[in-house]
Amino acid sequence: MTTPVTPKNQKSLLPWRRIVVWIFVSLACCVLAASIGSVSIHPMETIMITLSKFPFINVDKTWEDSSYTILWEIRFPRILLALLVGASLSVAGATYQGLFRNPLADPYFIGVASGASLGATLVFLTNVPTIIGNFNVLPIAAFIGGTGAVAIAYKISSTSSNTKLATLILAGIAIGSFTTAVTSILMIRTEPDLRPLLSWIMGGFIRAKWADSMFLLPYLIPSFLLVCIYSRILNTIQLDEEYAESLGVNTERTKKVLIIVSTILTAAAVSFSGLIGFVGLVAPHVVRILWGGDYRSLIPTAALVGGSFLVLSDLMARTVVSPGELPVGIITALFGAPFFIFLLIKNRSNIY
Amino acid sequence: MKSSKLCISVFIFFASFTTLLACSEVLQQKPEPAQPALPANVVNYIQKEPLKPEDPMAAAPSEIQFNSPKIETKKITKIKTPVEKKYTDNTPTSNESLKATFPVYITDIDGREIIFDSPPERIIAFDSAAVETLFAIGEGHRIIGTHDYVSYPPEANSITKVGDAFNMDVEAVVGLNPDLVYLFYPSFKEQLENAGLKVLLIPTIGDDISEMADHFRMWGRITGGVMESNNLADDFEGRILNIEAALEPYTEGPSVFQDVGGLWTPGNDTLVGNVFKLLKLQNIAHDIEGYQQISPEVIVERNPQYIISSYSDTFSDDPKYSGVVAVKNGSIYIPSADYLSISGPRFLMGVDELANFIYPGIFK
Amino acid sequence: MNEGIYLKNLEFSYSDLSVINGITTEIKAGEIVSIVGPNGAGKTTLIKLIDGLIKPSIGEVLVHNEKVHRLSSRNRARLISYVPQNPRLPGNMKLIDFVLLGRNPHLSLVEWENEKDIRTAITAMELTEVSHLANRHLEEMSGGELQMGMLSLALTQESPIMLLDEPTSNLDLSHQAKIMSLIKKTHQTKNGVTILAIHDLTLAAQYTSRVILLSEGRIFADGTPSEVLTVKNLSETYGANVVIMPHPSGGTPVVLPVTENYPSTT
Repeated sequence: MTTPVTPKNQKSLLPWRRIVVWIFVSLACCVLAASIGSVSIHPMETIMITLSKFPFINVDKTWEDSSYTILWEIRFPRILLALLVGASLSVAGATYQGLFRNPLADPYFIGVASGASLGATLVFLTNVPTIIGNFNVLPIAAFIGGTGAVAIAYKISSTSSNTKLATLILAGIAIGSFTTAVTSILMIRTEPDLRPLLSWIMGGFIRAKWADSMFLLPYLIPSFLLVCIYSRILNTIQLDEEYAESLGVNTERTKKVLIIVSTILTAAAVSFSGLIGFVGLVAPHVVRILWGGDYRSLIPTAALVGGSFLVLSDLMARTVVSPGELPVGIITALFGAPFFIFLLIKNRSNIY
Repeated sequence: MKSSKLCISVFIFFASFTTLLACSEVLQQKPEPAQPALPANVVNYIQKEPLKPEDPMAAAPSEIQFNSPKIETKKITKIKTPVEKKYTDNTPTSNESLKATFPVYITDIDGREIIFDSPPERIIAFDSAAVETLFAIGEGHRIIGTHDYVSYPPEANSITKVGDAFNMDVEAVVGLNPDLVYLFYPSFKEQLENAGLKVLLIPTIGDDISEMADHFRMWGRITGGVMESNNLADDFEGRILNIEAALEPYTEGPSVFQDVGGLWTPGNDTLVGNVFKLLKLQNIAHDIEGYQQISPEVIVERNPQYIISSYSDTFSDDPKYSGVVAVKNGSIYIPSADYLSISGPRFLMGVDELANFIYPGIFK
Repeated sequence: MNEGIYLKNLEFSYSDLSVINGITTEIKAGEIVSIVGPNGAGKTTLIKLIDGLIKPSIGEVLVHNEKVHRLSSRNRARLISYVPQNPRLPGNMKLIDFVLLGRNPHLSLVEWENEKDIRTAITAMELTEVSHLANRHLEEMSGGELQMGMLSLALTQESPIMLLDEPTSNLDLSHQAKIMSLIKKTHQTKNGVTILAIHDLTLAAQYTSRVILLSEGRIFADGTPSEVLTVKNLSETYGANVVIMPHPSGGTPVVLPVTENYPSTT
C-alpha cells in the first residue's frame, strides 16, 4: 500500500538540524556580547583571556587585570544569566500558552510577577540584611513571593478533583492585583529612595554574578527536562480538556505538573533578573509562526531563540547610553515589538 | 522555507544593528586615562606641598595662614563670583540694614511675585530643608504643618503631618487655615491656589551649593528674622570658603564613585556632583547626566579610590569589584545620615563628614 | 458482560437539573447501538458517562467488568474512543498530527510516535479518505473533512469500544452515508461495541442493529429499529407526528415528520 503523503516519515519528530543551528546562533550571540561593552577590550585580549580559562591551554598573561575582571566577572556571568533567563521565560511562556490554550499567556500570567515584586519590595524596604549566611536574601524572597502567589491562586481554583483553568487565571489576576497594591503601599509609605527597588522591578542583569547562574541551573535543568518530556502531552491538550481526557491524558496531573514547573522556572528566573517582559510572551509566538506549534520542537527552539534575544538585548541595554545602562525590559519591548508585528503582518493566518 | 530565510535575515539584521549601535557608542567614548593602581595604604594625592593648617574650621573667612613658608599666603576674599539669582530680590543688598522691612516680594517659579505684607504666622512648610531653616533662624514656631519625613530638629516631630513626601492631604492643609504654603514641587500648587491659599514655590536648588545661603536669607526676609538668617547664611558661605581654602593646595583629589542604590550614580551636573567638585574629587561618573545607572564595567575600568554607598556590601561582597582600589583599601564611605539630601543648614555637615573621610584631619 | 458495557442504575444531574434519571442496561460485545431521543433527553450526557468523562451521582458504569472510574485515563482510552460533537480544535494543527494524537494511549510519557504508529494513522486516514489532506491545517478543512478526520483519530486509537456523538450533524448527503457505512464497516472488523448518539432516526435504523430511545433521562424503548421506531413511541417521546415507511434498500424504517393535518396511518 503506497502512502502518498507521509510528512512524518520524511523528517524526524525533533528538528535536530534546526536546534543545532540555533545552538550555534546562541553561541554567536554570546561571543558578540562578550566582545562589546562600555569598556573597549581588544578582541585579541578577549580571545586570550577566554583561552586561558581552558585547563589545558597555556597562555601568557598579556592583559590588564581590569580587562580580565570585566570579561570574567562582569560580562561572562551576565551573558550566561541572560541566556538562562531568556530560555526559562520562553519555556515557561510557551508552557502556559499551551496549558491554558491562550495566546496571551506569558510567564507572569498567574501571579508570579506581582508575588516576586512583593518579596523583593519587602527585602528592599525593610531592614532585613541582604546577606544571611552565604545566601543572598533578595532572590530567595522574590522566589518565595512568586511561588507563594501562584500557590494561593491554585488553591483557590481547585477542588479535590478538578482545577478549573479559567478560575485559576482569574484567581491569579486577583492575587496579582492584591500583591501589587500591597507593594505600592509599601513603596509610598516608606522613605523614598525607590531607585534600587524600581530598577530591580524593571529588570536587568547589572548585578549578575557567576553565583546567580549556578543557583539558577538546578531549577532550570530539571524543569526544562520535565517540560520537554511533557511536550507531547502539551500537544494533546490543545484539544479541549474533555477530548484530551478521552485520549488518555490525565488532565489533572498534567495541569499540576505543568503549572508547578513553569511557575518554578519563572520565579527562579525572576529572582535574579527582576521582571523582564516581552520575552516569555513573544519568543514562543515567533517560533510558532515560523516553524509551527508542535510543542516538541517549540519548547527547545523557543528556549534558544528567547535566550539569544535576551543576550542581544542585554548587550544593547549596556551599550547604547554608555557609560550608563538602560533597563533591559525597555530594549526587549522596543525591538521585540516591531519585529513581532512584522511577523504578524507577514503571516496573516491565525497564529493560534 | 521562505519564511525561514526571512526570519534568519531579520535576525542577522537585528544582530548587526545591535553590534553597530554598540560599537558606535564604544568608539565615541573618550579614551580614559589609565589610572595606575595605587599601592595599598599609600594614598598619593597630587598636591603642591604638604599641608599643615592650624586654624580650626570655625575661623571667620578672613585670612588663613599656612605655616609652611613655601606656600604663598594670600588674603582670602570673597572669591565666589556673583551667581545669577534665580529669584529676584527687591530688598537692599545685604550690607545695609539688618532690620526686617515689609512688604517683601519673592518671585516664584512661574515668575510671579508673591507679596508678603507681614510675616506669615501659620506656615505649612512641606519641605525638610525649609523646616530646618526656619528652626535654625528661630522662626520654627510659625510652622503648623509639614510632611511625614521631617525628622529634624526634634521640635519638628510635634508638628502636624499633612502627607507623605509625594502625597499631600489638601483637605487637611486647607483645614489648618495657613497663611502660607511652601512647596518643593508643583503637583498641588494649583489645587491649593484654587482653594484660596497663598502658595510659594521657588525653583529648586540647581547645582550651585551657595544658593542654599540665598534661601536662608529669603526665609529671613519673609519671617522678619533677617539678622538670624543673615548670620546663618554668612556662616554657611564662610564654611564653604573654608572648605575651598582647605582644599586650595590640592590641584586634584582622589577619584570617587557614589552609589545611591542599584548602581544609580550622580553625574557632575547634580548637587552631589558639585559637592565633589568642591572637594576636588574626581567623579568617575563625570560623563553621566543627572542620575543614571552606570555599567559595572565602567566602575572596574575607572577604578575609583573611594566609594560612597549606603549599601556597602554591594561592593565588598562582589567578586567583580575585588580589584577596585576602593574595595581593596576598604575605602568605602557609608554616610551616617542624609545630610547631603536635604538642602538646608545641615548640608555642609555632610560635606564635612565626607571631606574628613577622604582627607583625614583636613580641618584641624 | 466481559467485553461489553453494563450500566447500572445510572443517575446524573447538573446542579439542580436532573438529566439521567435511572438507566440500567447492558450492551454486549459485537453490538452496534444508536441512542436516539429528543433534544435534552440526555444522549450526550449518557455518552460522556460511559466514557467516564463525568461521574454519575448514583450508579455505575462497568466496562469490560471494570468500573470505568477506577481505570486510569490511559487504560480507559485504550478501551474507549470518543468522537465528540463540535469540539474546539486547534486551527493550526496539521491533520496528520491531529490523527496521531490517537496513539496517545499506547505511548508512555516519554515515548514518541514510531513507524507503526504513523502507519496506523495513515491507514485510518485512507479508510476515511482524507489521507490526501494529511498536511492540511485543521482550520482549512471543511466540516465533512473534519468529521472524517475525527473519525480517523478514533480509529487510530484502536480501541474496542467507540462512542460517537452526532457524527452526521455537520455532513452533507454524501458524507452522511459515507460516514455511517464506514462506522458500520469498521465495527464489523472488530469484536467491540459501537455506540452512536444520533438524531437522524432513518440513518440510525439503517446502520445500527439496536436502538435505545431515551426520553427525560430514561430508556423509553430498547430493541431493534422496527420495534422501537413506531409512530406511537415517537409521538409520545418527540411529541411529533410521523409517518414510517420501509426503506427501499433494506426495509429498515424510514421516519418522516409530517404536519398535524396528515391523516395518520398505523
